[in-house]
Amino acid sequence: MNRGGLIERFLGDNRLRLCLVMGLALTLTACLSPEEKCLNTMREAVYADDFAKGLATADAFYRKHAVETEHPSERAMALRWEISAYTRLCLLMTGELNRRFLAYYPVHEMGVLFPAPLPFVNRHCYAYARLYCEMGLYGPALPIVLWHAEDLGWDEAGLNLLFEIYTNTNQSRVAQTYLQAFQQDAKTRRWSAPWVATVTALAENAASAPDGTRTQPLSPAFLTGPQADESFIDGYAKAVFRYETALSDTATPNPYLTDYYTLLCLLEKDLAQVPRLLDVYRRQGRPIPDYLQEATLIYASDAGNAAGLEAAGLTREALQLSPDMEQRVGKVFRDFEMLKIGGLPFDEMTRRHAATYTYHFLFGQIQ
Amino acid sequence: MTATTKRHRPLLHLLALCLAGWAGLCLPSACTRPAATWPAAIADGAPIFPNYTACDLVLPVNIAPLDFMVSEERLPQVAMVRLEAFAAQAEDGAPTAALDVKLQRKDGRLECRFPVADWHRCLQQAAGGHVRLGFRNRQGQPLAEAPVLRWQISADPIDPYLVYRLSAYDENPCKYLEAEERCLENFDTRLLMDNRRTGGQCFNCHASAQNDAACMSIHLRGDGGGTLLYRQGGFRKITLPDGFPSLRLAYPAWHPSQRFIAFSSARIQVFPYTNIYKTQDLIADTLARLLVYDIERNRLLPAPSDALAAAEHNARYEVSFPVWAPDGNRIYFCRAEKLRFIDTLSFVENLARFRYHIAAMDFDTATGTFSLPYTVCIDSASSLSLPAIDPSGRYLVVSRLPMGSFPSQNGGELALIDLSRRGADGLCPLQDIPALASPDGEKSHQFSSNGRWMVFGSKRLNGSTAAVYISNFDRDGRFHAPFILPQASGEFYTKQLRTFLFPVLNRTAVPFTLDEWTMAAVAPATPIDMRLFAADYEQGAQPMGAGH
Repeated sequence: MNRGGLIERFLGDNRLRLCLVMGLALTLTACLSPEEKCLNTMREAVYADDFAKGLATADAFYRKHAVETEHPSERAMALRWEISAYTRLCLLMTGELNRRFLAYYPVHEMGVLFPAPLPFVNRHCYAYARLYCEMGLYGPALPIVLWHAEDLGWDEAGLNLLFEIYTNTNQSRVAQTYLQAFQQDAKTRRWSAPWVATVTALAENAASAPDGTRTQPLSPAFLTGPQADESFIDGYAKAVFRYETALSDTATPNPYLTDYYTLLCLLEKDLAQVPRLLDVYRRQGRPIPDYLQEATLIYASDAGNAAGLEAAGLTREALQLSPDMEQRVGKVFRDFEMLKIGGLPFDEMTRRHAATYTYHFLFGQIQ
Repeated sequence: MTATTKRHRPLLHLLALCLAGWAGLCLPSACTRPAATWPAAIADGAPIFPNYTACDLVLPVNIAPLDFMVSEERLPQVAMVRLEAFAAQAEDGAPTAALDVKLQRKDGRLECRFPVADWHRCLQQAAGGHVRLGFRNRQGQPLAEAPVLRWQISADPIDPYLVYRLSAYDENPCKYLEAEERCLENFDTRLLMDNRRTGGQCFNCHASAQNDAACMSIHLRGDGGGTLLYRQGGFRKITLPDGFPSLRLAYPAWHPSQRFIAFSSARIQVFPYTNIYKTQDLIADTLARLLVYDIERNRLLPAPSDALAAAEHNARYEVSFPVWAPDGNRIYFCRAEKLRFIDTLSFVENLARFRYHIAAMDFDTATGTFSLPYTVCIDSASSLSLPAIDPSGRYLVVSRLPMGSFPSQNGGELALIDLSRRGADGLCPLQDIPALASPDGEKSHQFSSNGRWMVFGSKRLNGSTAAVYISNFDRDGRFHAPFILPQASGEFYTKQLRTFLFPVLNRTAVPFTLDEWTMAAVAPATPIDMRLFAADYEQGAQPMGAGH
């Protein structure tokens, strides 16, 4: 058989063709760096709302690459920052933020809750836009969605976030403009099709709802809204949470925002917020997360604080604090006493307890 | 129909059926594409889009056709429109010209597209008079339920060229920026600047000298930046030399002599303020001062000219957005007391106190010297910014902003200052301009060379992306209902995501090409002679925050 015939037979055989395609895919995957592989898998998982898989992927990556022996390249570092952003999102969405965030202590990029320079370094990071959206902070989510599209083009996930923001904030006019614009391309037309009914209904009811696109003047009404004394997301998250909880005694803020705000306060060792946080979790009917339980026990170790909690009905029984947490906090404090008298090396103290909130309370830098 | 055609009619029908079937099989995407819906949210209740139904609409005689889409839901029998020209304002009399336009179906919508030459013929016939636009059915009968639109046609033409910057979104920082020139008499556009050719460098503050495109400046930010001056048929790129870190050449205003350009220099401090809907950049200025560049001698002049007065003034005030009086003997600018934070107020409350007013200095062109500054107009409720002066020198139009002077913030409505009038306090009164107001803000306004037209940017269409609007400014100092910059297709604005910024009207086309601009933008810059300036420049003034 001549060479042309061999090639024809090879390409004509479906099994061989499948092997060829799979081989090519495997080769391409093998060429990817660990960071790229991890990020791709996390992205796919997050786009499919499989946050547990995303978190498992991050864990597998960090088990091998928590600390790099060599200084990573700028490209690798950018990817690591993005992985860390997806990790935060997955922690928040799986309810693990206040149970596991501190367990990532060896990972430099996980050192703070929100790395402020990120919007400018990775301005198109979908994970941040999604994080803000899930917390109900649509204002800061929007620019990231748009920057993502400008840098990388539209994808289905970004497009969904865009319409989620516009529909949640009653921005019917601009939503309709985007809907019209997306009709020009087959892909964006298909992705936006599920939003047509929602946006049309929003537009039809535009007169009865405040138009979120409208300018917000610096009027007294605006000034009584959430006020952030700091730039960036942490300041804003705090301001919104405090504003919403101050509106009424029965307000129950978005649970994701509550978790985020809780960790912010705890990382800053602002234990004065503990009673209010406990009250919000109680109102939301959600279990008290591990770090807040630890913080509560530390806070209640002061007799005056304990009496205040009791008076507010925030007793151990009412809060259903776990006996495990009590043991955990007690162990850290006992080891701390050992450390002070030279009976325990600090490395061992860190190895044993760095993933606990109590350790952070004793040794962690205010973040 | 010929006999041959008649004989083959069944065959033709069969062929047509086959073609239709083939199209159905091979072009599924065309069939699955949903019919376009009427853009209810942005059409503002009108039966046509863009909405040209305002009763007070005045069009320049040389404007391009106002093409639009028609809502079949609101005008079910509509099939054509009739445009009739009347030489006088009076309603009676026979039309001097008429134009029938059959509506075309495009993507499931009806569109009215006027033939450009016929449109202009009609408008010429109606100069100083008006045109009437009526909707008709397939038989040419007027639709009883349809409105008859009446547009006044001003004999005063608008400058035929418009330069504007286009950014991808209404969010900072935008990566891709372009500047286009549009001929207002038709739909021709030309790309003038594109930052993808200069490594993504931001450019802004394009300005021409009193609507003269042969005399322009463009500021380029970042590494290798500088200010491009186009004058006498060529580019020149200037920059501030090292050692003046707090100075910038921003917000240019050409002196009518075309010898001087006034700039304001400031470091801007950005306070991103987010509410649930959007992030607003609340921007304060610091270390601001006026700079006047002498083009012929490549040097900067301090303003005010008296060194002591300049030092005192700069210590007390921030300044921004200079603009020359048409005779060149005075410069107006925005001025604000320096921002001092009060501990008991929140940062937004502090920023809300940072408000500009309008001030001026007299200028002696022969000696290049300035008087001491004086206040012209103050508004207790808002911050006055972006002054634009009409060619007669009598009127200033300003943007009333919530705070500061930076145009990127949301909000802003236009107001008129009649410089010929003075109140008891010696200040010029500020008047609202209801004809131009919208809840979405207006800014970036500029007059035509004859003073009869003003262009401005507004987000009124969808609240997010700015478009250019044109308004007639009549001889009584009154603005008429604005209309959106007409486009070749009525559906243009239904899917326009880019935002139009800083429209500038020119009497002639810009003389340079995109390639020439690119070469000039990447060329090295000539440092400005700072000797006159260095004496009172505070070396200790360190930059803070982002700047221009």
